[in-house]
Amino acid sequence: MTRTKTRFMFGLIFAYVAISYMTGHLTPRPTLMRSLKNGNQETQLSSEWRSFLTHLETIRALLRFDEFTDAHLKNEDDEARRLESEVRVLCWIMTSPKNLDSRATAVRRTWARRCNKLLFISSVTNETFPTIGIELPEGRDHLTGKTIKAFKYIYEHHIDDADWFMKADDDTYVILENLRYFLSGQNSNEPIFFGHHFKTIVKQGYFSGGAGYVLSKEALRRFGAKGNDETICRQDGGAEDAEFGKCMETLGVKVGNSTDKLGRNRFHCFDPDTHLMGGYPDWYYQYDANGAKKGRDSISDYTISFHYVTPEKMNALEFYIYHLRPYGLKSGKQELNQDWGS
Amino acid sequence: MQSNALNFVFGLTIGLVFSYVTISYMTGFHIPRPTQMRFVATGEPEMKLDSAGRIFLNHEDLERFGAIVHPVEFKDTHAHNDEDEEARRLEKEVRVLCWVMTSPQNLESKATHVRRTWARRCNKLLFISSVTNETFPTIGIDVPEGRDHLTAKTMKAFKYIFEHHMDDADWFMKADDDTYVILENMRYFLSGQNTNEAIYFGHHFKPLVKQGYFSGGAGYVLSKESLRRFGAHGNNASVCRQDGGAEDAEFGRCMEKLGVKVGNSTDKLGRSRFHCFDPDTHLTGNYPDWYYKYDAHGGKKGRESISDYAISFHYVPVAKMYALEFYIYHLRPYGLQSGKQELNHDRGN
Repeated sequence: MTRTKTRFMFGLIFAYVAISYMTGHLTPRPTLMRSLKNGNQETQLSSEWRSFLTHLETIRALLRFDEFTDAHLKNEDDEARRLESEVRVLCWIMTSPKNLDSRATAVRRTWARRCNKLLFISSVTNETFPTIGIELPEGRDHLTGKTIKAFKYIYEHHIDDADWFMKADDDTYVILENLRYFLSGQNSNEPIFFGHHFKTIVKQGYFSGGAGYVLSKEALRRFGAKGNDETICRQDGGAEDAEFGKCMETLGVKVGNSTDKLGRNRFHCFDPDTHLMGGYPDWYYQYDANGAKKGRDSISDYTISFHYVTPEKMNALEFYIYHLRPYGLKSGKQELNQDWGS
Repeated sequence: MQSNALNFVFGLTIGLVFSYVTISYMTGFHIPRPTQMRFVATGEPEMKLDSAGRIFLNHEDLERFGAIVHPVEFKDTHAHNDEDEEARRLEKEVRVLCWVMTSPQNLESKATHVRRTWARRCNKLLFISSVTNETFPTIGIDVPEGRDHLTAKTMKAFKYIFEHHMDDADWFMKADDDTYVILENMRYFLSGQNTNEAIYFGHHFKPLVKQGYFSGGAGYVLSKESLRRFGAHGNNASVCRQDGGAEDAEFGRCMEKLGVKVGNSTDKLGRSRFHCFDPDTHLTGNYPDWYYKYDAHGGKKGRESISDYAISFHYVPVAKMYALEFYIYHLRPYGLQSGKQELNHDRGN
């Protein structure tokens, strides 16, 4: 008798708790939490309730929820999370003291928080932000030096923290899930790197600095071994991306192909609207290695990067890519990577 | 011997055909839907960049930047593996008639692109102008063009729809030719509503009309009962103003007189679905001063103020419509399956 009664009670309680949770009576609604953050709305909360909610906020933050507590219910992200642990990406962002508050902050609050490891590299060390200071003056004349020193630093301190090493600007926007998807079909022990391919200046071509480029572990090793040799790689001056591209070529690192199965680019040296509508500057037609397609089939669904993205636009892209959805359309998994050997 | 070999070849052929068909199906072969559009870039680069990224707060600004843009082509129908049963089911169950207010001078520059982007998802689509155009086609309402006659245009349009298309849909939406609507989210929202109720929905403005009214540009949608009441009494000048004034406010007064209620379309997290500005304006909150006195929900801004299942935006230039198509229906983060969120209020709210 007692056994069945216990079971009955257990079932009853379980059902009650389950239903309450599902109908939202048990957990505090996210709107209350948000009002705490903003401090804009008037809420009559007792101090115990307030501290309980703050405690909950902390737990949620620890559980790696989005910084903006957006109540996404039932997002199935196992595939993305699997790739996150299998394809580790270190992102280093080239920034400067004057860009910390605006651009670098926007980068960190939007896409860069999805990197496995994130470093901000500037001319000055900033303990609070934090940024790593490379001892070089700011300005376009020293971007090459900044890049060379940054990769050296990463080789010396972080080579084991990731499988792939990406450089981006503080006005680059990167979709990490798509970067990992692409790299999951690549081999990090190969001397290879990927980005938006420009065919000029360097024999095998090079990658646009602003669109972001990503090195394999072997590429980073080779750079670490010989990259600071003046006779092999230019140490400063010139155009950063072209000089780095020459350096890679000298070290035997190949330029890789990152177009998808339908021939569309994944890295982009302009912002989305420019690539969607065309209207490129004249030089682009001499530089782009993939035909400078004017928006016609030029952008992969699993696009990885865009450039010249303002902080406001980064916020908008977060909204479009991770929030705004058409109800009832479950986007399936597309096989857009090229087969091995392409 | 001969017949053995023949059998083998026959079997081989059948096997090859069968596996080809099955594999094609599994890798995304399906009847191509009209998602193909052609893109050719023309015009001044600066104009184009500007018109896509710029924020517009009124029609004058928008007209000044009206660049000629041609549509974008996405030849990826075969690669998409979208599961759209839910969307298709709603498409049959929640039939929406869209009527787009346009004008002869806007046919090529705006209406065409509206049709090529979001409006092709409506169950029934009508373009209403001052002049009938057989080719486009548009329905000509006998009203002069211009902001002074928008009220008359709206009144006559709804009358026309009541007389000719009442049975073609369950809900009846008015939009401008610079409105962008996400039909899947419209249907999702309406699936929790009752079209036999005297109610309508849109972006709620609180002044001018006692119960408030809906922004014309953000689009508003009438239930069947509302359309019935309008059809019965809406053209009576002593009940509803027939022309002049601000179209949306006058129509709102008319609805109130007819006993049609202003409905609530915020989602379960209190976020807005209809929007009288473009997405960037709502995201940054660069509103004009008047907005704070008009918006019935406090003039909120930012990502968390907009529903994931947002329905409409306004002042969307053509280039931005194609950009939105790209962001909403194509660009995806790999491995993130957006689940179904229960964002509608429970019945009775």
